[in-house]
Amino acid sequence: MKWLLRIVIAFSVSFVITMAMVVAGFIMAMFSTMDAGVRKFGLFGAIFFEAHEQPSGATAMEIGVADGTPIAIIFGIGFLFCLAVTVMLEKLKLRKKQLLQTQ
Amino acid sequence: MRLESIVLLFRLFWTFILRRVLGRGLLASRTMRIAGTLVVIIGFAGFNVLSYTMMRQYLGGTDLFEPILAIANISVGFWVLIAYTLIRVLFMKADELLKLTFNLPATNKERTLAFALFEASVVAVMTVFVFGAFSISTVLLEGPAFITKILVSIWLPVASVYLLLSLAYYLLERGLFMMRLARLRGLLVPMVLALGLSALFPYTNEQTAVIAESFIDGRDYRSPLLVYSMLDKNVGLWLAFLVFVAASMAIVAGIVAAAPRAYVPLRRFIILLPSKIARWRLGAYTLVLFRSFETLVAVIFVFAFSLFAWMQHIVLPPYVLALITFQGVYAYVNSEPLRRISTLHVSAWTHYLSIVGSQVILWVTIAVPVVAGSLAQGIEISACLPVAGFCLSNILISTLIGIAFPPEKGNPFTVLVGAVLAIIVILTIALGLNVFNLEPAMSAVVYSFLNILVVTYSILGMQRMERIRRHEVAS
Repeated sequence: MKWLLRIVIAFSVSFVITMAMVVAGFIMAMFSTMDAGVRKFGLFGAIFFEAHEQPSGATAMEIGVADGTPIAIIFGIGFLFCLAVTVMLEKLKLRKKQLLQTQ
Repeated sequence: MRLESIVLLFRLFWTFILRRVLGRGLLASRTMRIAGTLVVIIGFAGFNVLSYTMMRQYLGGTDLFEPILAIANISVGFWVLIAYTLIRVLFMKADELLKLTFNLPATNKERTLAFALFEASVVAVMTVFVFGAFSISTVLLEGPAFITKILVSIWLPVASVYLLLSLAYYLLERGLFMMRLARLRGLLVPMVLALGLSALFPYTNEQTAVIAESFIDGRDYRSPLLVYSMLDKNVGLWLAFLVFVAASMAIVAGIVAAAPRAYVPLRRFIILLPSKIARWRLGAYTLVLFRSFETLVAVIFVFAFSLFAWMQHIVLPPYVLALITFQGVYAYVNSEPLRRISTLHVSAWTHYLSIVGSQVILWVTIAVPVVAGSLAQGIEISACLPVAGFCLSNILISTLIGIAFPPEKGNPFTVLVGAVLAIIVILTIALGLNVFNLEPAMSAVVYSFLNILVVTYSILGMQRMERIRRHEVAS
């Protein structure tokens, strides 16, 4: 049960971090180009952004995922990191409690 | 009236907020406090970048900023009134916070004014957060010359309109005192504000069209609402500022004079539904929800808006139903006494199901007539289904906010902090998932999964708070 809880927390924190990175990568890709018809990649090539000039003169945006691997890797690293932090934090708390008790 | 006691009470409110908000629920742990601060800072930065990119994309290099500022200036009244209605409803709920000061040697007037000052400071913090991004990105795009333009066309009008609305509110409260209706002000004040909104909406729309027209024709647009920007343009910034200071001082003097001398407690409940249903747990929770005064206010708002939309021929899916679901923020705290009186131990699951179940009952009760009205307006039933999904998920999320950030004594600050954090996280997830271009069925699956996570967290939070209350674990 304890491990399930830790995994659920690490999963959601890492999910939010990944989503924030995806959004940041997307905005950066959008930033870096203003020319129509150029495909820009962001977040280590995971996301692409392309602006098309439509016949009517308007600009249409196309966004999407070009390669899911970097996103999966970011998610995995975030997950493991959160899990490690929770475990460490709990161990440290336990140690503090022990030290206080022996006093 | 002594100024120092007003300042003292004002500080008391903030001390209460800082100690209670930073000491309860999720924010009790220091890790969560640091994480929350980080989320707010990163969210604000992201908000800035997003608004900068959007504005550069659409407006960069055009001279459309001037008319857009004029439109923003004209609609300030409308937006501030919407925000004021929200703030008013939240602060009316905070009546118990005011009761904290009852054993202190202060007059009712000082109490009211200190509360007004506290309210203004909370509003100022929130306004900086919301309008800050727009202002910063405009200045970044158009150069520092725009600082004064934004000042005279957004910030100063916002402050003046807010002060005027406060004055109007105190005058209204005085009027209600005289008519002996002050106990019902929790219902009457939001209704008056809603009436104001419905009157201002067509005016703002019309003026926006006039501004657009006069910009295309190259004419100058004049309106008494643009007084600060016109003074700035024709005479100079100093005069605009001088007029602002003079007007503010006059209005504040008016507020001091109009603040009521007597205190009348608010009516908090309304007797609806037979008490017999309290025999079941779900029935008791339903009674708590149905009988609370805020529910009545929210329901009246929903019906008033539906009627307004019907008369103005605004054809929209019934998204207004979401208004009731925000009640969920108070659902946990309002039903706290129920959990205290249960003699036998019942799992957090059961309590959670009752909390959510009662809200679903309320929602369905209101949704039936409103959706029927929408269908009569010619909206497809398939357009109403996403609304139902949205509202149900909103109930779950707002209940989670209420559990993670319990608004003790109905203090509005916790609610606002919780809402801001939740909005940042939800927007990030929604934007991120948007990049993936998922199929509708797939995104339904993802969102259902996220809702299950929300439910899990709510139940875990309730279990933890219950254990803290029984001193089984340290908070």
